[in-house]
Amino acid sequence: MNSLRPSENPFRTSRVESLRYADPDEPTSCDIEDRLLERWVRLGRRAALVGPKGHGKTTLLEQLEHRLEGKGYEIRRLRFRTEDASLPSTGRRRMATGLHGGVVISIDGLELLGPWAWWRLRRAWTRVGGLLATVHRRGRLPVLHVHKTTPELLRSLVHQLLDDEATFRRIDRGLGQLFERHEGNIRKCLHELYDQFAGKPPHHSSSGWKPNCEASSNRSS
Amino acid sequence: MSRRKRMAQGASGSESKFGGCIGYGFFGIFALAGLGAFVGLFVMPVLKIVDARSWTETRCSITSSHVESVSSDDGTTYRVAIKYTYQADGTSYTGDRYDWSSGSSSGYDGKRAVVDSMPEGSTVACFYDPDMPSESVIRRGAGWFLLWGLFALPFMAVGFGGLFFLIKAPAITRKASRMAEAERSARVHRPSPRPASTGFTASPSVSEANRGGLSFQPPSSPGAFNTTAQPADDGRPTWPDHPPMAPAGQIDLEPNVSRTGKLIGALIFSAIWNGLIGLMIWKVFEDVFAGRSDDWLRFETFFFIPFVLIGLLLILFVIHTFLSLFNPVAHLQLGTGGPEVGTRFPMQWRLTGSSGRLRSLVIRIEGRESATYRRGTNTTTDRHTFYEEELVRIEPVRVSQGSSEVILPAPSLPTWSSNNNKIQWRLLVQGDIPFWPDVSEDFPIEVSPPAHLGRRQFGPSPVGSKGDEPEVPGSVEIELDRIVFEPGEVVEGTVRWSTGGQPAESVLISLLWHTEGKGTEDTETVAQTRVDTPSDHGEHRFALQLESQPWSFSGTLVSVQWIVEASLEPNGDLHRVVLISAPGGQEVRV
Repeated sequence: MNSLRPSENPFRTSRVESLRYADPDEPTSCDIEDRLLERWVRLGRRAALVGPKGHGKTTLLEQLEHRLEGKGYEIRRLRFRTEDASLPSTGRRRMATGLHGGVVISIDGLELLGPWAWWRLRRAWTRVGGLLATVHRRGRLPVLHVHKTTPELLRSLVHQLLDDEATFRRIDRGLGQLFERHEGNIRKCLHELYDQFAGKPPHHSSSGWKPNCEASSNRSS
Repeated sequence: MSRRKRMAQGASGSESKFGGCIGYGFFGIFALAGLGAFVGLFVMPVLKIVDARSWTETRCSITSSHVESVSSDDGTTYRVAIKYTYQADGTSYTGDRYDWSSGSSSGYDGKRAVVDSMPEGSTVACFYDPDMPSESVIRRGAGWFLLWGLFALPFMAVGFGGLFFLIKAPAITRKASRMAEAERSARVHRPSPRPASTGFTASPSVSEANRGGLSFQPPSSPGAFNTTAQPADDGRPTWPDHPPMAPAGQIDLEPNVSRTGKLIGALIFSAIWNGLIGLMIWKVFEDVFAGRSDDWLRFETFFFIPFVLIGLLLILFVIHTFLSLFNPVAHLQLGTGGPEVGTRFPMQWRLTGSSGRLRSLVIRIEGRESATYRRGTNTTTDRHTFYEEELVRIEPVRVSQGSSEVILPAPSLPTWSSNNNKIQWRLLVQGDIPFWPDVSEDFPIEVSPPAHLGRRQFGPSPVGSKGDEPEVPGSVEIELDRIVFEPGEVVEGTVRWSTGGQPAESVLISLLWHTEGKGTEDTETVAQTRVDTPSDHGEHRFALQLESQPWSFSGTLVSVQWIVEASLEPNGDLHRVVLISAPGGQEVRV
């Protein structure tokens, strides 16, 4: 039996997904959405967030969607996943109905869109106010923002998720190795931290680092 | 069988056949189109490239050279449009082939550069087929255009995968029908549950920690789920001290994946992969095979090494899967009354086939939680085994059948699943055969909540806000009569609100469960009530019924919490109170 419940784990999904996107180049900047939306307008309101997996594309896309909704746009969301990149027929109908200049199409995983669907989308976007998308590589759309991660960014996010300074100081030293092991994929880093705090054995053969979870166990009592 | 039933089955059968024909046609077209495209866009160009390596080089005079635009609904694409003349065996020929690509593609700059390097009137090297001099090309090597052939692979995968599924579907359906029929008939004849016999000796495989100190209150009437038992004095759940025995009967379990299905899948994939790679190798090394050359070591040799290795692994996998067809087959039967959390039930196992070859046999039961996390284009599923118990271990195997007793621990969890989070139970059969693929089969089982468990009665213990109305204007607050419940009970409480002078459409009270942990959160509202057009401030009594599942629990990957939530609609304040819905009113920890 574990002492730390999943609902108490500092790296549980609900907490991780509540983190806001931070640009490693300007970590203290609070107006990234405004700056990117200005650039998006300059790019003709059709542009993509580009970066590898686990680099915050979906998080930033959701923040931009929220900001656009605040400006009065209607967001039509399409979410594609590697194992299921098909667009359901209900989704197709909803996407194609009532398109006008106040609609922005938001696509997570644009590169998973097949050529036929991409062709249909290009026909549709002449009728909408804009297109925002995430992709892993440059290609179909102008680049709005290139995502990157740094060990400092990981440290900052972990610091936000951990409530007490003592626990953070204990695991801080190993975060650099964790970042390198997952090649900058922040999502994987946070998942591994969840496992460590849950007392679950990691999938990989760890190269020495084990955060001291003593403090986290105490928290659950 | 009644006539009506037969007619219904007949109609269903013909519909099924009709649907099957459409499926075969649909996937057949996909498979053929994919195969055709792959051959046309990849295999044929590769064969031409290989063939052109022996063509004769000459000089060509460019007579026309420009980038041709091809416009379509999908945008504008481009191709190198070039014409040239050349001499072969004293005869003049004209040609218009720059390379082996067919059609046009995006990317203007690259084609412009090619055209600029071959202006009209210039001469360049080109190649013609000595056996058919009218066939010529300027660039005879490979290029990026070969990658177009990869577009065909998904079509092939869908087509052949769909055909495979259609071929296998009737067998899967028959299996499912047999299982369902067996379960139905077993339930029809299900005897009433009975408490544990006094002579029962608990299996040593069950840890004392799971049972020690818990009290079992037998139901006052057979099969009475609603029977109320006296609560244990120490406030712990009324789990049975000795798990009661499930009634006699049998359910035949089926393995998760059929061996024949696995073999057919492996065979088809391996045949396609190795067939295409073999064809390409044969063409590339045709001169070597024919004895005209002994030049094995060339660029293509290294290029093909990874593809050949994958092909060899696929062949080994097919052989492994084929040999495992001759393994002993495990058959498991369970008592029909179980499996339920906190019960023991008989399990009979039988081996058919050459069971004498087994060096050891192990049957285990495993309970695990599973959490799927979906974010961006990525989906990851984590699993964690929270319970594992060895039921049978025989070494060496001298018998081909036997029986055992499966004890599902209490407190534990029944089988449950939501979109992203699951509790699963399964029986695993593993047999070791020397110098042969091992037996490894996986039998999922459905573990139910206990039907016999005594229920506690909880006294009132108000939780939440108290008083006449919320202190903060524009807010809503809940007070529950109590927060611990047996599954299926009614949650009662009072909601109080103060609109603060702002108009509100309604006060909405919802009973819901939601998951927390490593996977994507799941939430389901199971009951709701509303107060329409509420006054500026007031209160309302409510009663909402819990469902029997899920229980409040915490594992390693998943927690389930039950919540009563009240909100001022629209867009007003929200107040939540977490409650416990689990046997004995205690969250289950696994």
